[in-house]
Amino acid sequence: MLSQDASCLQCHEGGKRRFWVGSVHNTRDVGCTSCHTVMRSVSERNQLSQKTEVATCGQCHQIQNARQYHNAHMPLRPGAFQSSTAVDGKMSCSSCHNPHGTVGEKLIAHISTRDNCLSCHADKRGPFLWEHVPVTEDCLNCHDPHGTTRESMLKLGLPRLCTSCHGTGHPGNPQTAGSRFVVGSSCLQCHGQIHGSNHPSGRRLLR
Amino acid sequence: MRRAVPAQALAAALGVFALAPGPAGAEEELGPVIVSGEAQLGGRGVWGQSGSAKFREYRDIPDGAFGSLRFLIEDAERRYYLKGWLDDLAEDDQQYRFEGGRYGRWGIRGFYSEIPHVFSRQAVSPYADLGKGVLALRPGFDRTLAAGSPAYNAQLTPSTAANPSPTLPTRLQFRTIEGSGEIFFKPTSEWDLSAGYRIFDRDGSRAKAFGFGSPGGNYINLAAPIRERIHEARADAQYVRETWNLGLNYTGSFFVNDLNGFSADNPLTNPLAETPGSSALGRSSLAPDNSAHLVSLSGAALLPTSFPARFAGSFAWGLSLQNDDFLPQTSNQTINGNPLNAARLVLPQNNLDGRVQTLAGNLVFTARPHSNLNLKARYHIYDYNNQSDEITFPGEVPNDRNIRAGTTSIANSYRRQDALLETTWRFTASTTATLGFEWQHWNRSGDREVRNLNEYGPTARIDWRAAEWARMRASYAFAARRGSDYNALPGALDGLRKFSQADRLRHRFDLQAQLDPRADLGFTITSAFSLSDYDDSAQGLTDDNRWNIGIDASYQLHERVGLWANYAYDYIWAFQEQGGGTWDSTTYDTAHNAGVGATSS
Repeated sequence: MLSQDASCLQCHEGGKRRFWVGSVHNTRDVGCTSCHTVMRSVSERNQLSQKTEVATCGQCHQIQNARQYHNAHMPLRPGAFQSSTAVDGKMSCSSCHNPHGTVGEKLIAHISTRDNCLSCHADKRGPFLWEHVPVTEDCLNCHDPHGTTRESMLKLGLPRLCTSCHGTGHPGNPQTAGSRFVVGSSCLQCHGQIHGSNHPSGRRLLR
Repeated sequence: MRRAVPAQALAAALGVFALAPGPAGAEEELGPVIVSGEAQLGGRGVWGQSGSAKFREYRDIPDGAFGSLRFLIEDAERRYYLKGWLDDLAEDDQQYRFEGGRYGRWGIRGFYSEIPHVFSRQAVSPYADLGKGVLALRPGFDRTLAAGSPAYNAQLTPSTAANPSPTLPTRLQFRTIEGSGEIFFKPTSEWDLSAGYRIFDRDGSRAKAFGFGSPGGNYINLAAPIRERIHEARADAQYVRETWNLGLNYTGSFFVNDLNGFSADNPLTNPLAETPGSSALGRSSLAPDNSAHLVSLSGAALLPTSFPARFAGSFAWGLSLQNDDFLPQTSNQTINGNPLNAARLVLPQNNLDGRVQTLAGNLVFTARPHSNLNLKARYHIYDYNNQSDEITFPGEVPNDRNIRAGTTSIANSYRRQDALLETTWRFTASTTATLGFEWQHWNRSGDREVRNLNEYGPTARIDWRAAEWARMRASYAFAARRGSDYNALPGALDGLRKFSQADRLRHRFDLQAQLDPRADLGFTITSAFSLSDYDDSAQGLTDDNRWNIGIDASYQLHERVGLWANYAYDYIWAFQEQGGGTWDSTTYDTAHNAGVGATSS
């Protein structure tokens, strides 16, 4: 453990820092002063080394920082035109992660990635009568929550994401560029209940 | 699909300017209290096509003044305090945060935020929202006209003063209001107690589509209503000692949807012409009310060994419930009104009686048996046990047309396990090497193609401090994923493997360099390269490769002024083949991000 960390932990152990020792940041020599300042204030809250939390994490996690500027993104951006540049957007990295350490993976501040997403997107929780099983296993099967160039933060555009798994009938048939199976919302133009359906006739996620 | 950025939207983005907000702050003694704070006030002007939804996706950016407020009120001894952060005052994305109490002992926090989510400011629709989930074609829309005829199509063109039509502007956005309150109490230096409540309220609409024909025939897009709330209650207790700590947490989440479904007129079938094969009205379900309860116990402890060793773990039990009443099988009255269909339209039960039990466990062990040697072991298990009823429906009416034989719903369950073993050896003063092994196992039930899936492989990492001001890291991970027999579902395409269950070989390389040649100058470079080969997939996704690089530079120009610049490049290449080789698809995604700025403190 870095000696500087020991000094900080004398007062700041506990709370969200209970699992700091042995955490990913700790074991990779990312100490307290890598992200926090002590003798001067830069950020408005939490003594961060940069103006905002996103900028602080973005020093090392540059790709995740860059992806929030992609076409589909969560409301993380600090925003140059906010009334105060010291305030983060509506979300920040700590909305999902605990950088001080967690017992789980990826520093997710919940028991699983899916449960983390469902804390705000509880409409996808179900259980549904007709499940779309990859949805119940992991939201990251289809989405990248840091941001993507595809709508709804999908990792691949439609219909390619769907045809990665589905190939029977019209998903597998070759289509022309203007086909209704390809343009617009593509597969979701009929299969709109993609996260699951509670309708008795919703087996195909149509209703 | 790549879309050209509308010139007007780009102009709007470039045309926005803001007068630098002028802060004014002070600290004053007012009787028994000390008040300090800061007020910021600025002016904003926007020109260009300010109607761009993407520009205003999560923000309210009107012309005129904007401001924020910060304040801190303390007693003379500075034991008690009240803080406040108020931003975007009186705007649709306003946000307020308060905290007060006694330093280090107890406090209360409050938070209020409004988040707009704008999908489009130019949407038009022939549907009107009549409330309670009813979307009806506006008066004047004539469904008896021949589909595709000039007269019919004229109804779908946006209404103008010269050519009025039933297709009028419609709202395609929703607003989330988040509010929360929390109390926290620290009765002793070891105890941390807190309890809180949070609510999300979402109101508005979003684009949704469904069809009236099959496959892919006669579908409509409309603004489906959103009337949802999430209530979350939480209680947390932690006990922290020098060598061990323990925590207990309860979280209850309750999702409430004012609408269990919505209905919409079929623009191509009027009620007098309805047939079993073409319904005049379609009805779709919306997300059902549900609840989830989670109790978790976590803790960590230093082990009584002669060398530093620590154990951390957590155990969580969760229960999710859902018993919203089912909608009827169909809204097609020619099907509902035929007594011969009655037996197949019967709903065996009123609701799913949905119940899912989850168990999650984490164990982490770290040790330093030698000053140059670190050991780490981690184990994670997540069990998703779906105990919902499996219901056999005698019939079904997909797309509200043509009743046919029903089927049985399936409650899928799964268990996922992960394990990691890692050892780090510092073999010179400036260099450490890490070797590890990772394993992941999936066990699935229900109608899944692969019952057991294993992914495993070695990892390696080198950390090198080339100089006091230069640190570098390089890592490599290989993973081979292999499953039990792939039992394709009936009718599935031969050789197609669903990527979440398919065999896979994955290579991943990561590089990072942190350079601080001077106290006022720093650079960070990161790069990652991932190659995924779905080697047993003859069809479907066969390759997924990703590469990215990011560079960040910062320079402290002055004690109170810093400059920064960054650039990131993201590249994705994915290949899939389908249709027995009749077609294949290569997807390329590239993104460039660059930024420059200055900060003052």
